[in-house]
Amino acid sequence: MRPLMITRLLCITAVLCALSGHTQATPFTPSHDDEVVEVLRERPLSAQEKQWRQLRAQARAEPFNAILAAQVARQAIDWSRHDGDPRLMGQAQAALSIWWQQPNPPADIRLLRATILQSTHDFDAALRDLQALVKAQPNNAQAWLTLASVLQVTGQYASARTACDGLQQAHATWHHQVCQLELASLQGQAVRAQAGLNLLAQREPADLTDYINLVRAELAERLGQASEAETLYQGLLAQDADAYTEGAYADLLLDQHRPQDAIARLQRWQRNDSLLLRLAQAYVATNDARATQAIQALRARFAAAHARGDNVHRREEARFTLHLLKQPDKALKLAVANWQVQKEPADARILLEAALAAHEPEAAAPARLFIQQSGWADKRLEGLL
Amino acid sequence: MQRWFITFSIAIALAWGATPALAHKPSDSYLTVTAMDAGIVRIEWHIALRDFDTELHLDANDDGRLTWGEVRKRWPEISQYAASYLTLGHQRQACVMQAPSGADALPRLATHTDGAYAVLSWSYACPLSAGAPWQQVDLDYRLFALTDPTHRGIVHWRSVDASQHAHEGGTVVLGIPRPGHVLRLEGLQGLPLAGTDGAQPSTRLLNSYPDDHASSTDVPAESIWHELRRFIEDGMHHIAVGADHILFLMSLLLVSVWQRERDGRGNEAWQARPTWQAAWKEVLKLVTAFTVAHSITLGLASFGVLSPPSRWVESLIALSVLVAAMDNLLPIIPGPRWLIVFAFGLVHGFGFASALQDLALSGGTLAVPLLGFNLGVEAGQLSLVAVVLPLACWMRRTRFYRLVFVGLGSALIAAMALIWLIERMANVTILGWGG
Repeated sequence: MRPLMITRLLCITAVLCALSGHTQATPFTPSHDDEVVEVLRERPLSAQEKQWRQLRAQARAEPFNAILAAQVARQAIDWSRHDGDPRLMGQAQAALSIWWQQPNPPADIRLLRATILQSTHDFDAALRDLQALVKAQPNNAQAWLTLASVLQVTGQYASARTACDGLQQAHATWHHQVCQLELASLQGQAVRAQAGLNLLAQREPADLTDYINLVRAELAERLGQASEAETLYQGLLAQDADAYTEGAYADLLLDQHRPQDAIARLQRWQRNDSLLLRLAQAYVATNDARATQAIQALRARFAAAHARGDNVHRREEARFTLHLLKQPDKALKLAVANWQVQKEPADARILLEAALAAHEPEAAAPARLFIQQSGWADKRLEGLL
Repeated sequence: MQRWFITFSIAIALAWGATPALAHKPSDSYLTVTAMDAGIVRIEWHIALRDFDTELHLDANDDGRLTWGEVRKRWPEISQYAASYLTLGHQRQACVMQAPSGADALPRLATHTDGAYAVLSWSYACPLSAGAPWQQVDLDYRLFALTDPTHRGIVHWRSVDASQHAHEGGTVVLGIPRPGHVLRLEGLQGLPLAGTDGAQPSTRLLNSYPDDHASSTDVPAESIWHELRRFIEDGMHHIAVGADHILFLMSLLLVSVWQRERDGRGNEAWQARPTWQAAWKEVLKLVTAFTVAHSITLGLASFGVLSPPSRWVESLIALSVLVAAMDNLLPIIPGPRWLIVFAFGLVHGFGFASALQDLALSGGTLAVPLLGFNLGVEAGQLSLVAVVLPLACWMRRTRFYRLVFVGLGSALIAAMALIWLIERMANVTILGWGG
């Protein structure tokens, strides 16, 4: 059998096992009481987390208390975004369950609901909530910011620009400028935007530093300034490493052919699927024996997501299918479906790569057209266009 | 692009933009249901320890690491917690859970792609008369409804007949958006229910397991009276904050002290009722019709028999307010008022049900909340009647009452209801109040 066929068979078996489920995992009984059977987190429960549990209990006792519910949800969303853990997002949703189906929940609750909706890529529902919010409260800066961001991710730049302007109306002048500059950087004015952001970075209030530097890091990467991007990523990760920045930096390291550095950083993040994906890529690049195990784990996780009917990770799954399973046809299908939902540089990249590998460059035509029309500058995509 | 972790110094202290993709596995459990001969259903259920910790706080020393000792000591509670969120029935008759014994009672774990899972197993005895074949098993799955509505149970079902031949069934994903499922089983013979001490399965469906074990665990069980009181309060609260229910009742009450009479030209016009008693009788009729109607639909919806889309229910509620208020101004309701009040009561019942459901209750514990919530709604309505009706009776013959209370009041209510109707049908915000 050719290696490709073996891979395919393995993959099919894995999916079938995951579907028929459960039978795969054989029950066992640990022998000692002091055996650690699960690591919930790499540190003790923090005082903040204890407090949050109490707050949650209180919120359950007062199910109609919107203020309590919002507090519980907001904290859970913060943590979820930091680690990329959907369980916490689910717990945030639980806190809002009274208002979850209501057509007009209170503004605070509605904003949180929109944030949860966009996290599961239910962009249409999120946009409905956000648009209703900014209409009712033109001063709600957070609503404008989230709206601008969802519109940008989904490639609706003209509406995103209007949402950025909303930030100014809401007196969030600094955010307005960053918002406008980032959009400009995706619309043919990357160099001018970079100059603007650099200037802002010197004058901004301290609490915006991380935000601006992340925008700057990604822009530098698109402009092919790897060392500039690296400095910025390292600065961000030195304080409080979050899953998103960690992933962006790992991509930079992989592009720079420095898989060893990526491995060193990603070891502790293996519960996170997208970071495990980068780790597996780094293992493969270094011929590390641990690659097999990482690929198996990823395969099982995507199969589990399919079993419950999730489509949230198409971008990652396309990348996994193309680079690790080496199945360009299947990867292309995933990348095409993903492009219909999200339009960020990473989405275009995986679509272009998969189309080339599958010898179907036409399949990436929509992305090419979009890139050309909006005026993206991205060195990483140049060889693929 | 994807993030915007920033902190606003203005107004609000949160600041997220779009989508750092959620990159972990979400919460799933794996449940295998095996229907066997003699009416027995075996289950094996794998549930993440991480999820149990969120609800039951298993990590006793809070060090972030679960030891086997920490898990093992809490096993009865773990098993009881899960059991109370799963109910099985056969042909709408409850299957009785058999408390885990022997090998089933031994704590076990399994490793899945995102960590360690508790392995729970036990049997149910389903009521199948002698020689009757299996028809279908009704499954109701509401695990972690309170903790995480995105939790899903991935249910695989199969059957094993008397000669140990296995037939694969299929796989279905259950969770809060869709907790119930009917598993179809063919070709298996059931036998009379044995060893259940003559217990009536259908009456034990709602509380078979948790009640049997409540006293043996550390979880302080909420007393029925306390629970009832809590839901009465929730019901009253729902009426108090539900502007649409209040305005519907107000519209009815305003003219309940009047009656329609034909004038000389054959047009219908309002006349004050001659006596207080007549007004009270009318109110009694209307409130009874409304109560009976909404109790019916509240019950039906809560037990999952009917669940119309909430947008339509909410829109129809708005329409009911509009019609009631308009009818105060111009006669548009044909026939006796109590009839249309009954019809709209059915719709309001669905509205109450969605409020009750939003409290994320499980089917297994619904009886007390349902009773309590309904009593609370009643109490809320009656207090409104107690305030409005005496006043209306007293003022019913005055010009002021006719012009301001009924005329202006009904017009305002109608306008409000029209806005709600548009908002709810088109899913837009105009006022952003009272939705």
